[in-house]
Amino acid sequence: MKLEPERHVAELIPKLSDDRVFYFPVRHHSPVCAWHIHNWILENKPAAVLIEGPESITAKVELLASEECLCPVAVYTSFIDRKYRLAALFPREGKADGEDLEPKEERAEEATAGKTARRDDFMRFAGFYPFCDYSPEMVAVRTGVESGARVRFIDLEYGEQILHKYEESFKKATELRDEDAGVRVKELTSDSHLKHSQYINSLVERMGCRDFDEMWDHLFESSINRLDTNSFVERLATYCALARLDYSEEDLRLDGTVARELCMAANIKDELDILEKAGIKGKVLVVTGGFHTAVLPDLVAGSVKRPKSVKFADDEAGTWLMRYSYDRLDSRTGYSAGMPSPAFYEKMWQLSKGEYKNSQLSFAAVEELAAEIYTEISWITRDKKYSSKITTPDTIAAVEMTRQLALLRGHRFPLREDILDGIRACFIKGEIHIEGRSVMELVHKNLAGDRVGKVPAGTELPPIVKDFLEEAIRLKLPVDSLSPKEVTLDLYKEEKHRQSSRLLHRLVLLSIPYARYLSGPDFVQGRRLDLVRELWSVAWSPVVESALIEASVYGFTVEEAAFFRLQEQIVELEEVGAGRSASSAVELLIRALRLGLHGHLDRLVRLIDSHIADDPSVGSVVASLGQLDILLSAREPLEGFSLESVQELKLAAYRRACRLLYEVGTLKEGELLDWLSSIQDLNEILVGAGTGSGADETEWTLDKDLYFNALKDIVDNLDRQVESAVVGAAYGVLFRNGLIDEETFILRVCGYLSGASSDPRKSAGIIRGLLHTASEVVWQVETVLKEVDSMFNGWDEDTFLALLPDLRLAFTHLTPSEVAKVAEKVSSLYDGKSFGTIVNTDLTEQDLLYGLKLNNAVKGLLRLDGLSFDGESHHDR
Amino acid sequence: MEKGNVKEAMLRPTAEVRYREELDSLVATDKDPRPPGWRMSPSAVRRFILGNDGKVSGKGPVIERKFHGDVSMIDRAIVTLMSNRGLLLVGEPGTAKSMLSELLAAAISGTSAMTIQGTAGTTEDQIKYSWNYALLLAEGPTRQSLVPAPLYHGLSKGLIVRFEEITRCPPEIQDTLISILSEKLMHIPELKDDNNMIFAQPGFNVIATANTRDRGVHEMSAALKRRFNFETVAPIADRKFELELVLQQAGELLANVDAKVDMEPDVVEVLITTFVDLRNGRTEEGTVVDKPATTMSTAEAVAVAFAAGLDACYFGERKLKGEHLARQIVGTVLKDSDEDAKKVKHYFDVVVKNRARKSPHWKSFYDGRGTLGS
Repeated sequence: MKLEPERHVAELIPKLSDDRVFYFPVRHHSPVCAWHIHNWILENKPAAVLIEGPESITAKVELLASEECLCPVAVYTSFIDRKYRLAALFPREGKADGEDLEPKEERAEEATAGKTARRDDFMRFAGFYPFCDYSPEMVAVRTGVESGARVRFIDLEYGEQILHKYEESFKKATELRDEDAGVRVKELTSDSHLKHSQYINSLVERMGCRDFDEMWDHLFESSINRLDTNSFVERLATYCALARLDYSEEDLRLDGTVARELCMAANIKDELDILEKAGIKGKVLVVTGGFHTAVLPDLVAGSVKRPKSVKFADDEAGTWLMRYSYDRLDSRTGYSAGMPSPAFYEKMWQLSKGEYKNSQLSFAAVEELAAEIYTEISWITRDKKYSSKITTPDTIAAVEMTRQLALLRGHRFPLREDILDGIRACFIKGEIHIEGRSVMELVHKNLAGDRVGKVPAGTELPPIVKDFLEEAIRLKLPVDSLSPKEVTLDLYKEEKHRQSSRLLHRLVLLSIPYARYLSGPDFVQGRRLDLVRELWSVAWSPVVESALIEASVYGFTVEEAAFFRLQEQIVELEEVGAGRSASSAVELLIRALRLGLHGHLDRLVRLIDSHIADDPSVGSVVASLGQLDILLSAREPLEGFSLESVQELKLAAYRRACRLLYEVGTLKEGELLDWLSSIQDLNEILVGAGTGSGADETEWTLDKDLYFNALKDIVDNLDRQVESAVVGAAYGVLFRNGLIDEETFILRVCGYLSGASSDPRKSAGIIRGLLHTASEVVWQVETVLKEVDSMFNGWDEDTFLALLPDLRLAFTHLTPSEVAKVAEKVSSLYDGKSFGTIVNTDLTEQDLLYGLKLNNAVKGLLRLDGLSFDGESHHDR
Repeated sequence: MEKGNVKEAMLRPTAEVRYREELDSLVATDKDPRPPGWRMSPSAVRRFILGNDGKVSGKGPVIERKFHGDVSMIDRAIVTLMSNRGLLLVGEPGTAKSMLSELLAAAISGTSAMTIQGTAGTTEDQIKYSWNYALLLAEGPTRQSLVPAPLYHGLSKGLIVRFEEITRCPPEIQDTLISILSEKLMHIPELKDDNNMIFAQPGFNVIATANTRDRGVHEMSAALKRRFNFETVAPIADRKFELELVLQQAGELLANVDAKVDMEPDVVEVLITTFVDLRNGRTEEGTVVDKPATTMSTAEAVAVAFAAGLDACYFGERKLKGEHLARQIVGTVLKDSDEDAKKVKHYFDVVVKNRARKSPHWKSFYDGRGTLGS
């Protein structure tokens, strides 16, 4: 069917309308499409209106058309493969089609594993169809019902769509792309075919538009009262038909599009037969995505049969009407599909119907709308929170800018991008990505709106309630008793307990008053990590159900809703912008793992990555490195060890930390301890990680040269004013790791200690740093000890007293037994007389005996377990 | 080369000279309404800058695309120039801000010569007017003894005035623009009362440019900011296009000095990748690296490629290698910043070292790091 594009289109256009059917191509959530459909129905009074969307939505038509139904709402449809239908589709052994069966089976298992890791054996899929006042489908339902037409949805059931898609992919044994790993819930009105068409993309570029949305506005939304409905349909159908030429029949069969179109065509034919038999006159209006419109006339004209329908059990598939919200609909914050700026388009829709402030859609009216938006934003910026205030002259300039831009670009009235450009040009004093960030954020929020829809009373309970009940019952959590019950969850041993814990944490995040956290390990703050159990108090009450209904706007399942809330927190953290610390972002990651949202971490990982990159403090970066280390080593409760991205983050944090060590010259007062600990911690992390270099490097190995080179830089570049304690710490690490030999080490360190002219404070600093990272040198390397001793001797009383605080700090790092050891060494320098007992304890004899007994018991136990107890070497360090 | 010789003897012809043919044809075929004082309509200005996509209407020449970047920004810039606000182009150095301002001025006013170069030493005289002291002594302050500076010309003739690097001027000098931009007139107190005002003619406006890096030098006053619309000019986002541009421009520069060097795109790609990585603070693989404070613009990449080409030509085997590029990065990009050297060294340690294992060009690049230290 490869025709030249022109002929292809020329043949299609006349088929779109005859005396029985009118095929109306739409883009989902497009006000101009809605406007034309509204007018067409009122004018033509069709006998039936057929709409793209699973057949089961037909049962919800009455609810959708009800006056109590306030948009935005969404139809949610789910499929849980409880009967292993997908597995049955895999080619079985013996089906000799000449191909190697082995890898196919493997792949199938993989695919299954990807979907089932969640809770039980069943693969789960869900999709939703959002409706707002200006959605063409919604308008078709409302106006259709109002004008007395039969309104039906004609697409395959969602479960059937999934089955067809998988069946085709298995047949081809092509690689299974798991496009929506993690997010199983898909928005199904996404125009993805149009957006990814090469034809459309090159058109976008040719027209100098930034993206598909802008081009859409430019070509279609701006045509609203210029083209009559027929010309509009012709134009849209032409674009869609051309976009479709990019896809081969094969592609479309594989992604299940062909099966869906067969179903739609069969339903159209069916409806035509019904009407004919009943002797009802009047046309049939077919409202589908423009991509499908291009083929439907030919299919209906031929002999088409609906793909075999699948009878799903009640617990396998379902369709619900739900409340929805504009911030979820907006493509910037919600799923990456659909139309941007719903609140703005709603106003445009009202304008086009003459319902917004009684004005018609005209240049002046949209300009006024723009002025309104600008004023509103300028008022918000006058709040204290915003540093750049937008003034009235700015607003005036922006309105003028919008007008001129629309004229220059040949628009009939200012479009969304013209309005945004007015802001970009006149409201932002500085670079758009820096100074402009907060303003643009505000603008997008304003254009998206925050309206939440409402479903008519008596609508079936939303699926989140069902999801929660199902989960709770499966996990044996009480859902009937009103009295609080204590639940102990063993995080390490029981998979089910972990799942319960995650469910409860999610509910807490959603502020659903079901469970109260009593105690347990706190991975976020790193406290009480020795605990292995969590203690909760749970109680069911009717309030729980109503809270769940409230929360249903965030998602169809508890997991999804929790993810949405987490996402909000991520956005908040993203907005903090400069001066941010990496460890707060890592905390959020740990929280996400605590919630079991392992599949949704991409955005968070990117955020942490950028925080690490921006964090100016070595202390905070090393702290986040330590947290990531805990995360990778905390086993079952977090299950973070398998996350490759966490490994990547750890590597990034390590590199950043090493990089920051070079900034030692900028060290400020009060940061010293951070620095010393950072140098020490990095050393320990490296030891723990078992580093390598050269050939045995794995992908995640921390390159220890980065760290050591940075330390060498610290000790070598003496022209910088570096805190001597940091230098001491660096020497300590280098010496410990054998990177400088003893001779050089003694020479250098003693140089600091004995320099007659040097500042005694500096000498004390060196000792402090050295003891922090390598305390053993004072008793292992005698020269150093001697040097320290003679240095003390060289000080007069006043100097000594002045430095006493520093020295105290230096020596606090030693354990009592180490102090004793040092003391002994020092005394041996003189007459060998002991200082006497310098370790004083107020222990009694009984305490000592008890301790010994305990020690022996532990030793015995360890020995029984085949573990050695090397008390001696520990004692000696 | 040959083309350059045919043109008038100018080391660097101005935009209106270079594109005279295009401009004349645009003016001749322009049917859209022109704002007062403009030589052509806004849409013709847009065509001049963004090209006509190879489409030729009538006998006119092909209008080549001169600016590769955000198209909608050009729309906004043109509209701003029609309004009562000035246009301030901000962005990293080397992002073709000055070129854009030159093109806009050439298209709108027919001349891009009304230019004030902002420096730390720019005085009010150089912006507004000064005096011919011989005449001043002989005749007293009259229009004859007054020596007009670009702003005077721009106001009185209705031209676009360009103010380059405005933030390099001290704030009190920048602020001379405030009253002129808002009142659209210039006061000359020395002249007699009835003759002491210059009123702006239609077509007058100001295009200023400012480097983001210069903000530390002199911040702009809020009062002046209000009189400008800001537009950010972003660096080229398309790596492939940047590679082509660098190959072409460095090739031209080398040809100009008769240096014959074999420049493989794969080698230059090493340079472009390094530049893009350091500019974005993130590598292709996603590793985060520190952005040097110095500019990593396309213009700098051309300079490095050119210098490396010379190095390869005169000290090498007339074949550009990674090591030549690495050597030149030190002198051309890092200048004398110690801080930047550390960042680039870190980049070599973390990123280049890994890539060197897989590609000979990167290996040569890594081996040439020499002066960056081990």
